[in-house]
Amino acid sequence: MIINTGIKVLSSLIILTCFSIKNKRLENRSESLLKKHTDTITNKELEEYIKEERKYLDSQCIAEKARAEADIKKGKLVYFHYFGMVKSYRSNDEMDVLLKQNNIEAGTALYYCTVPLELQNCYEGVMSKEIKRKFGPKFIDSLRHIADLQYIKKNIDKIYDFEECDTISRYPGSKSYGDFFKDYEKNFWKNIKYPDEFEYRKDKDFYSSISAKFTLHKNGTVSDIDIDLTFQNKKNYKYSSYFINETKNFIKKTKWVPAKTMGVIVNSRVPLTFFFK
Amino acid sequence: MKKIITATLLLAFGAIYAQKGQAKPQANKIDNKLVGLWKGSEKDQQIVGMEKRWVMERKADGTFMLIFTAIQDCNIDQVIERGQWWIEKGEFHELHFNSGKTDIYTYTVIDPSHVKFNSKEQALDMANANYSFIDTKIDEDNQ
Repeated sequence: MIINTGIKVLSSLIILTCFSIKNKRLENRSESLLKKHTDTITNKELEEYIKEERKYLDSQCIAEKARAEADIKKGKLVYFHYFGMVKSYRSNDEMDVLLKQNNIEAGTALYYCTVPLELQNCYEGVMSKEIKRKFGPKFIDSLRHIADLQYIKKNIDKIYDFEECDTISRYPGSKSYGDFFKDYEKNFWKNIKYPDEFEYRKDKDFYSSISAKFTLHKNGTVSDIDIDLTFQNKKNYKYSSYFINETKNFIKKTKWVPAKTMGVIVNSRVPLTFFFK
Repeated sequence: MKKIITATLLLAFGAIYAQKGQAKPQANKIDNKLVGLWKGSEKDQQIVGMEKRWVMERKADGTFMLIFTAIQDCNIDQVIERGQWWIEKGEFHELHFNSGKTDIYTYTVIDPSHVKFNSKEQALDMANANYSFIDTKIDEDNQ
């Protein structure tokens, strides 16, 4: 009984001591954090921290490279789909099947924007080089092409996002993709008459705009028109009905050119934006 | 002379045709029967498990203010929305300033104090596609 009480008291003391030490540490830390804003010494500290981190990343990269080389010797090859702030592909599932047919495994890797490029995904880098060496530099791109076409074939009735489609004009008569954006807006305003009491944008005002998104079907018909209207000058909202209807009419009357992705005609969403004077 | 007449006629018809293509800009139209201070509520229609109550002031100048109270899992949330309303082809349009999006409803004036709205187009996805509610006018007799 006495031993039990003794243990309890002792453990309470240890816990209390730990807390007081922790709090002091916190105080010290907060002091140093305050200093960081005023002292130049902290920059050095930061440099040292970066150096230490680089050392760690360096050693990790060396180990990863060695592991990759050992795996390659065993006949293992892995292709990685990257995620993060990099281009992502819609046809990864199809790609995985094609890779498997070539005895290449598929994996995923994250791209970190805070880690130096040469020190991240080192295993993945060695594998990528080996795939290029063994199959040729265009091998992955050609598989990607096939995978993408397979994806489109599987999803032929999907409504594709505007960005997923080929960069060709959707507006009739526009010669280039760049002209498409200018031409539709120019022709839209040709048929619009501003109301007499419309309050025009002044020099420093933000722009008012009307945006529309619609589905452009493979046969050139349109549906599901969504419209967003923003007037900086609230008084202009009394003409909402007029501007919304004019936008809808313009979309319905135009003979839009159906979108293509990888050269295949598909359904797509088309966004348009018109800025008011 | 003939040529001048033909050219004049062509110009005149051209001008008429061009004018026909351009709609005359008009301000929104409102239904005075919907003007005033209204209250309403719904449950489970927009989001299952959520009850919404609102007070809406539809002004004669076409603007509105909507005070929403949402009750879900004992949490109460309040949102104030402002926007523009109008009537078009017998349908009620409600444009929200914060989103720029317009909700469209068909409506029936049951009596001067009650209006039934049926959702036609909603910017937000609804749990119930046939979302409907009744607005009750708040006046001296009905508060």
